[in-house]
Amino acid sequence: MFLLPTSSQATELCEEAFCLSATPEVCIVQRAGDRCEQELRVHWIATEIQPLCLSLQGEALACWSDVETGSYQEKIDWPQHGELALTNAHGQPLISLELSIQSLRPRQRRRLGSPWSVF
Amino acid sequence: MLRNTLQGLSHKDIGVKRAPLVLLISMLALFSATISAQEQVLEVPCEEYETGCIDTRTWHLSASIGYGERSNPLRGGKALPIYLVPDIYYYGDRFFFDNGILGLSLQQRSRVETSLVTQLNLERAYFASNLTGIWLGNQTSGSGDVSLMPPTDPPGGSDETEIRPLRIDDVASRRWALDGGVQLDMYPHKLIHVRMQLLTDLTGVHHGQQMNIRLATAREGHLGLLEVGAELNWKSRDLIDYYYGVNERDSGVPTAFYYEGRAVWQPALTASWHYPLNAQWSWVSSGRLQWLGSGMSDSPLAERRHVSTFFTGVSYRF
Repeated sequence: MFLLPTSSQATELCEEAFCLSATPEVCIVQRAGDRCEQELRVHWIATEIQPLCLSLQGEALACWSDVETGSYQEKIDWPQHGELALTNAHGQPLISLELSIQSLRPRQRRRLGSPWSVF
Repeated sequence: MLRNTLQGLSHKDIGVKRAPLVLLISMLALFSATISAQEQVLEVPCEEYETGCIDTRTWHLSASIGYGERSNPLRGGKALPIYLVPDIYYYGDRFFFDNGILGLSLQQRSRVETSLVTQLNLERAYFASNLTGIWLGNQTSGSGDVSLMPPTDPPGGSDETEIRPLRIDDVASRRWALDGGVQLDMYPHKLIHVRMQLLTDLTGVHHGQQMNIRLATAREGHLGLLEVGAELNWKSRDLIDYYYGVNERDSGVPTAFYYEGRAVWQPALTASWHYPLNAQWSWVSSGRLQWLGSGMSDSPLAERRHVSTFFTGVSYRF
């Protein structure tokens, strides 16, 4: 298992109302279905101060108030596909990006048929 | 499909003949309700199941060369020699093709999978005279131009006229059919595989249904992989009557031979052995013995009450 570099690090040059970056965004595993537990580093910037929370798949990871920038760093159980979002006090996502797991080898599943069953 | 099933039932199958279908439908409903409450396991690594794991999105192809034979229970039908047995399968995340079975997995759980499947009905193969007959559907039997001596009495009822037994060449051609339905695969133990199928005719050929239950267990050791299984197949009256019944469609056949097929239970035992010789070559052997049931074996076309199949040879994995 290894990490992909982040796609956007230049949060200090945020020209939008909100900017959000995560490192990494993708976790690569050997086989589809393998678990990935890795450290997630997040940085966000807001041009207007307000209570904000960082959430993954709808669950809050951390919350801030009276600041216009914040960081988060924690080891998490990586989602197969999950939305990482910066939300306001009402839980509405203001900006988001997707975290995912990708595999080097195809997923395995059970074979349902039987060998030489044609006869 | 369900409508076809119900129509088939309302036409011909009554009383106890309906019981197997009702039983299976009830079981499928029960299992569907059970698994709907469980967790999806598309993310669960297959290694946890230990056996039968294959890579998805990859075609798997192997061919076995050797000798085998499948007996033909029909009078006039030849035993089928088997020289080459292909083993071809492909599994996507949901779609799969496995040796002639085309399927779509609706739910994949750790111990239960539910799929829609379609497959060729192989009853017609007994009316084919060779391997190409099975694969290519040769119309080798049944011209209707029969020249049987019309019996004056039912077979065996008179000693004045000796009646030649009815052969598959004497009756009208039977058609290939494509069946489709629901397949349920269960793994109550990591070494045990239970498969149930409920199938109905999709092509309007025999208008019948069949139900299969198969219990198989595999054991891998220093002598290779050994798998043994037991099956129970139920086939409806319509299915049996289409292939093994004799009636007006078989023009030229004396009415004394007329026969109406009945629903049958067909148990079977299977065994296969797979011994790896190296990374690509293996020695394989397999055998199957199936009892036909009186609804089929009482047909004037049938002369045996069981079908046996065996094959042994070497397998090469591409």
